[in-house]
Amino acid sequence: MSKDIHVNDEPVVGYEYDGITEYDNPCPKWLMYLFYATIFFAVFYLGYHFGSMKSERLQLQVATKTAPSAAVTQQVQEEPKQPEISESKLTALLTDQLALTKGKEVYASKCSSCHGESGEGLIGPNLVDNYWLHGKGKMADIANIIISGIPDTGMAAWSGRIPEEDILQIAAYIKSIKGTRPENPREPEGALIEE
Amino acid sequence: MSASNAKTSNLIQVEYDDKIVRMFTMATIIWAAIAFLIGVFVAFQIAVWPLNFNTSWMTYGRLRPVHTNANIFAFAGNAIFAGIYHSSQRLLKTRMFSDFLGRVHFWGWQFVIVLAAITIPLGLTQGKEYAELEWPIDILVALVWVVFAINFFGTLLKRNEKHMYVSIWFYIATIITVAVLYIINAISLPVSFTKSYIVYAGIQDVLVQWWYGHNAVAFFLTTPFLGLMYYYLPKAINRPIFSYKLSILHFWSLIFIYIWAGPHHLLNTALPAWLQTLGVIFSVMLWAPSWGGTINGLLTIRGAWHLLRTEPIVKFFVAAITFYGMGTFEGPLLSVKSVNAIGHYTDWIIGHVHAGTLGWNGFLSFAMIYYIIPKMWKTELYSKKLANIHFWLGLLGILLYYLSMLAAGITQSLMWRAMDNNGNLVYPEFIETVIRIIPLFYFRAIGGLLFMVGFLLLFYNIYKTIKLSSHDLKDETVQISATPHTVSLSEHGHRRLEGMAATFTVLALIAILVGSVIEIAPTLSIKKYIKPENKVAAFTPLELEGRDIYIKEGCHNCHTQMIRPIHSEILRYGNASTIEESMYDRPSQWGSKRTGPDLARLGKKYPDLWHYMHMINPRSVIKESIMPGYPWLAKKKTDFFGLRKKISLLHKMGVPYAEKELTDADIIAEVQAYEIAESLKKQGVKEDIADKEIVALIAYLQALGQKGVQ
Repeated sequence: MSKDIHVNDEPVVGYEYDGITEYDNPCPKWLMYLFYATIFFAVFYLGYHFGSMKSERLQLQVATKTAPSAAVTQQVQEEPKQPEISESKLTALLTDQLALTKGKEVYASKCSSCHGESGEGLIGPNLVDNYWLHGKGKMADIANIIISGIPDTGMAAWSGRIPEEDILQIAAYIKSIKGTRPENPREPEGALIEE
Repeated sequence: MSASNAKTSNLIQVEYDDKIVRMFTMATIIWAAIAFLIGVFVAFQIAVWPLNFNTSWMTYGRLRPVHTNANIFAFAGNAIFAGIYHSSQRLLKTRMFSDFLGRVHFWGWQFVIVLAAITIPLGLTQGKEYAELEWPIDILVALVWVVFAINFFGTLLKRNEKHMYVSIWFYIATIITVAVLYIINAISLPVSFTKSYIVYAGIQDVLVQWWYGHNAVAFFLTTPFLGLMYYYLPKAINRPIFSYKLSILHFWSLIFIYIWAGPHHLLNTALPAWLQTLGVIFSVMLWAPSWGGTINGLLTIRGAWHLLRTEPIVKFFVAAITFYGMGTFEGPLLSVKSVNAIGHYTDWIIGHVHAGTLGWNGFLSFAMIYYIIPKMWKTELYSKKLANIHFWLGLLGILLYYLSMLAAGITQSLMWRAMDNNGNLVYPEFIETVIRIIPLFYFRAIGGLLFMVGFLLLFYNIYKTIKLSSHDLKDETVQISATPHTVSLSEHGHRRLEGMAATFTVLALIAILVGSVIEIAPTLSIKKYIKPENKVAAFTPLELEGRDIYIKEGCHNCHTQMIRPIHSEILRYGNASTIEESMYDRPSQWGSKRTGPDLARLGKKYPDLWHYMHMINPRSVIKESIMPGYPWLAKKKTDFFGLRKKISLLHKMGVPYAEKELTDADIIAEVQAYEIAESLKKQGVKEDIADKEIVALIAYLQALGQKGVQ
């Protein structure tokens, strides 16, 4: 066996510990080369790092000062296809059964934990009464609130987390359940807006 | 001790203290059973959330540290001691320095373990990974360790074998380094008998913590086990060690390089870049020295491979050393920044750790136990066949564990960072990325279960072996030459050093201190890294109390507070975290694992009512959540009064609290709690919660990420 790895298996003479002896074999060459290679990498990496420390720090600042990071924001802004939120387009969705079903689905997964299974309100306000805290209850208002959120109230900005198309469908769905009378409604909040 | 050395003409008789070896071996086996059982239980808790039972001391956040502490300190600790007491006496040809100190060490250590098993589930924790024990127990650990050190170095001084064998080198490095690591990492100021604040804050704390945490792996789970390997492997197969030269090279390079690698637990975080760089390069350079041990172990088996077929103990050795080799390749790989960006915070790391602990530490300990028990009880192993089945069950268990965690980690990491063409996250809801890997959580738990079942076979096998043995157990005696070896002047270099225990120890100490000082000393003046214009406000008294509750419940076991400057991460959580934001945190909560989302900027993201409902029952707001419920928080009273002492202590440690906060901390906290509770009441919360812990916790959660410059 020893022939396979080119070692002599000369024992270390004169030393023995509780019956254990040792061979005087050299360290395997390939292992030493590996060791030297990692040391070479370390020196190179260290030099590279200290040589470019400045630029790295700058990058970090960009990343920390702007969220979402500059590159991403730019990319989003360059996208020309922001769907236009027109009340007429939304009104069309109101009669689109498929869109309403989809809206209901997304509502159930993203909105219901705060606004209730049927819009009765829970952590967030009631969505089926005639009172509105923000906006005038128009579908475009609702869609805009979903997109931008209401800072400090806990209403998240869902832009980027729910596709725009789905947001419009949710807005239409919310409009469609207005006036229903689910159980355990949350007290009306905000201004009464008659239509 | 001299009583045991009966002099004959020119031979002396040495009687070993074998009883202490039997004691530590039994303790190893018993604690291992408990530690593995808890491990399997917490693994199932992640797959099946109802197993948290809505009971404080049963929740994952409190039991996970019990699992880690039990495995590291109870199982591995006792195994190390059993092996060191057994092999050192034989390698140094002398009885232990003091039987009495050995007993103090044994019972002191078991007492520490019992205290840990009681206090950690009660939530008494310093909130630092693998260093959870509160300050009185820390002091006890340090004292017991010193007793062990005195006993070991005393034995070294009265040795009858002049030259120290390679195992002894590793034991020396272990004992001095663990003492340095444990004591420095644990320095804290007490608020009461059961609560203290660590002296380090923010990046100081993370740096010291991971210098400790990483080197707990190095000097508690690696160096002592290498020492054990160097003794038990050649003894078991009766073959010479492959290369003495390799032993020297890999010993010194290993202990010198290992100590630097701690910052690889903090790559891509807010840690200063030069420290991250050192973490990367020393981790990469650690590859060959680690493999030195693997190679020396595996090549020692040359010419004895046929034993693999017949001797289960050789199977355990080969598998253990192979897992060590795999782990020490994966480690440097994961320490490359770009790979780390994928693996960090995921289950991949959990898989990596368990390949090491189950494969290397577990299997090597089992081999040692199968070797020691028949020797110490002067009999044969009851059943080789059972040991064989143990091996295969264990191996299957480890593979299942490792592969499922590797798959889970990479899957989840790719989902976290998946972005569509508009630059939006494909899986913006964290829970989506959790649901995907739940099946793998089951596989992992089953892997752990197999490993434990295998171990139970060892338990039974050892029980039967001991029953078979005669009950008259005499300590082993050997005859050795009375003329002590002296270091001959013709010896030089390392040979000469091997005869000089004190010099050797000092050199080893220097080797581990170099990296420690260079990395840690500069951050002790934290101001250097914090720009004066980036002012950070301290937590209000109520928020601070909430923070202590967060730590007590072990939230940091699943949630990080460190947003890395990576696009997908900034999109998901907000701006990258800065050093300033955690500058008053004792201990810091950067964390190491995201079973749940990062919380660094959780504040104001959800209304108070959301948090209230979420803490009582996470499923009420996130249907598929796997987080435990914390209903007791709405019943347990907040300790407002204790805040005066906490605030004044933190003030002394440099947290900028105003005069009024020092004198009226409790009143200020009560007012804030009342306001939160009142607003919750208006929204329909019926219980009276103003003086309950849940309100303090909500105050803290709402303050996360709100204290820095925006």
